[in-house]
Amino acid sequence: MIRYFAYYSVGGYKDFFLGDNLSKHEYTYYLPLLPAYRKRAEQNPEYSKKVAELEKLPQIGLLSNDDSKGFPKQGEAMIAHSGYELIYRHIEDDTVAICCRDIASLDKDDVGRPIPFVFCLICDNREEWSQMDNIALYWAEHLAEAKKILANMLHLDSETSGLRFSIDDFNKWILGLPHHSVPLMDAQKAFVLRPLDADLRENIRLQELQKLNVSVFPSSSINDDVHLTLSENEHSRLLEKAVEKARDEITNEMEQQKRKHFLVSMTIGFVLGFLLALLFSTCVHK
Amino acid sequence: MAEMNILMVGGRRSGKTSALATIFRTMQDIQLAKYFTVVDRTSLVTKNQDGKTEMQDDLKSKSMEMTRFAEKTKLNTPILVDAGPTLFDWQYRLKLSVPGAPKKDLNMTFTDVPGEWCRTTDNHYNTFLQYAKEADVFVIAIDTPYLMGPTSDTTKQLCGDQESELATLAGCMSDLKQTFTAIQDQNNKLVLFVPIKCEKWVNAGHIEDVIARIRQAFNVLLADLLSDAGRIIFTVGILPVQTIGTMEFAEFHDPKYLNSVENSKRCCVIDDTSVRMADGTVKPLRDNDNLIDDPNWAFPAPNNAFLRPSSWYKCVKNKYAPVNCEQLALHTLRFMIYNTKDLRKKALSSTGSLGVKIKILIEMIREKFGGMGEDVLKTTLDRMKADGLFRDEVDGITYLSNPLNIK
Repeated sequence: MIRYFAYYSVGGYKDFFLGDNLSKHEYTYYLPLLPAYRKRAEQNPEYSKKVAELEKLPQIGLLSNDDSKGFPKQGEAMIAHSGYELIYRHIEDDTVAICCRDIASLDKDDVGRPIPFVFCLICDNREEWSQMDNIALYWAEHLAEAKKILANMLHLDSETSGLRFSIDDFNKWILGLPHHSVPLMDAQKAFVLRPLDADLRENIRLQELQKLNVSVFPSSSINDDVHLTLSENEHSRLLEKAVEKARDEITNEMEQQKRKHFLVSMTIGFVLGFLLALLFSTCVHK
Repeated sequence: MAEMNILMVGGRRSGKTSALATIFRTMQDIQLAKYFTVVDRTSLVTKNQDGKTEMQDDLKSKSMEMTRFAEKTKLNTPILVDAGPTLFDWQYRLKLSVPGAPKKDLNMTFTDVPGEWCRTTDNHYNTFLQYAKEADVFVIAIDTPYLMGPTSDTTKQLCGDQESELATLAGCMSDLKQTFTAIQDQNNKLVLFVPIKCEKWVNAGHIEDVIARIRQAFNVLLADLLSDAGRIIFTVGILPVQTIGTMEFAEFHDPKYLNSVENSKRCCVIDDTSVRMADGTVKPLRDNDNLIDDPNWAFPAPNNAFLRPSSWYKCVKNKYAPVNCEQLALHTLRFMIYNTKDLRKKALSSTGSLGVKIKILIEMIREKFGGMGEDVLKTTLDRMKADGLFRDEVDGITYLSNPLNIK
C-alpha cells in the first residue's frame, strides 16, 4: 500500500494522513470547525444540518505523538528539516518514501504569499516499489509541474471550511505516469534533488542519510521546461549519466570531509588524552 | 564559554520569528557596535531556485518586511496581521566578538520551531524535546492580546474565560511543564517570559497588568519553575518586547473569509451591511456575497469547540521603532556569564561531578584558543552596565527568581 501524507498549515502546520492508493473515495477532508459547529448546533438548529452533512464526509487523519497512522519514525526528518526539494529514500525493510517540499499552496497569507507545504508518499511493500520509482522519476523531471498539480489537489475548500484532498484524481494521476522497467530503488539507497546553493553536508546530516548510498542531483541539472520523451534505454542512460556526475561531486566532497575529520579526530584525541592526564594528576595530588 | 543555545518557545502566531528578526536587527545596531561586533552567521539550508516566490524568509528579509509594513500601513485603520507560519525548525546564528579581542567569539544559536511542536501530542514533539535538552535559555513568546483578552469585558466573550482556553490562547503551553521536567540536567537555565504585541498596554501605562496576568495564566508552570524540587535551577524573568513599536492591538473579531477560502480574502463583519478586509478597506456586503468561517482559527483539541478570534491591529505611526528587543539578547548574555561563573565554582569544588569538571576544563582550553572567555565577556558587560544599556525593573522587565544573584 502507498499512503499519502502532508504537512500543511491549517491554523498552524499539522501532519495529515490523506489516504492511500486503494481508497475509493473521491475526496478526503480535514474539518477543523466541526467541533465548533457541534457546539453551535446546541443553540442553533441550522448548524445541526451542517454538522450531519460534514460528518458523512471521509476524514483526513491527524498524526500525533501517539498515533503516527503508519508514518515511519525514521521519516520524520523529511518533514521536520529542509535541505532538499525532492527525496526518494529507503527507510527500512520494505518501506520507501518520496517526499517533496516547498510546494506553493493555493492558500496564501495576508501579504499574498503562498504558504508552503510538504507532501509525502510512504510505500510499505516491495511489489509497489516500481510504482514509487515511476513517481519519483516523473516528479524529478517535472518538479514544477508536479508541485502545481499537488497544490491543486490539496487546498482549503470553501464549501466545508476545511482542507480537501482530491484523492481519486491523485490516484489516477500517479497510475497514469510513465512506467520504467529499470528498477531505481534498492535497500539502503536514497536519491536527493536539492538546491545547488545548499550545504551538502548539512543536508545529509539533517536528513539522516549518513548510512545510505546517496545519489544527489542539484536541482538545476533537471530542466523543468523540457518534457522528456525518451525511450527507456535513453532514459536509463541519461539517469546513469546524471547519477555518475552527482556521484563524482559527492565523492570529491566526501574525500575532503574525510581528510578534515581525520585531522579533527586526531586533535581531539590528543587534547582529551592531555586533559585526562591532567585531571588524574590533579586528583592524585589532592 | 563559546556557545549559547536559545530556544524560542510559544504558540503559533505568538510572534517568535518576528521577535528573532528584531533581536538580530537591534543587536547589529550602531549603538552596540562599540561593545560587540555582531555577524549573522545563519547558513540557510535551502534557498528557492526560481527567485519568484520567497516562502521562508531569512531574518533580514523578515525584518525588512516588518519595516516596510510599519512605514507603509495606513494609520489608525484596523488591519489583519497574519504572516506565514513557521514551516520547519530554523536555526539562526549570531557570532559576537569584542573589538580588540580578535578571534575570540561567542556563538549564539537561536532555534525557532513551529509553535505546534511544543505540544506533547504533536508529531514533532520529540524533535522539540531534543532542542529543549540542549537549550541554555528558553524564550517563551506570549501573544499579549490573547493573554489579556479574557480580562476585558469587551473581548471576554470572544476570548473565553476558561483557564485552559486562556492558556492556549496566549500561546502558553501547559505542556511546557512536562518538557522542563523531561530535561535532566545539572545546569542552570534561564526562562524568559516575553509578552509580544504589547504596544497597546505599554502606551496606556498598563504593562503591570500584563505582568500580573502572566503570573496568573502561567501559575502552574511558574510554581514548578520556582520550586526547589528538581535538579535544574531556573532563573525566571519577564521581559516585554515590542517588535515593531508602532502597531497597537485594536480589536478582536470572528474570523471570516469573503466568498472564497482559496483567494485569501480574510475579513471580519462590521455590521449587517459591510465587512472589513484584511488590509483595512471596508466593503459593502452584496446579496450574493458569502461569508465563510476561517478554518485557520480553529483551536486544537481539547478546546477545539472554540474558534479563536482574529486579532486586528492599528498602525499609530509610520515608523519602525522596536522596543527592548536587544534586551532579550543582552539579558541572555548576562545570564550566561553568571551561569558560567557558578558552574566553574561548582566544578572546582569537591562536589562537582567528573563530567562537569571535564566540560569546564575543555571550555577553558577552548577560550585560550579561540572562544570568548568569561573575563572578556564580563568586562564588556560591565562596560555596558556602566553605560546604562541594561534595562531592569523598567518597562515591565522583572525577575521572579534570581538564584544566581544577577545584577
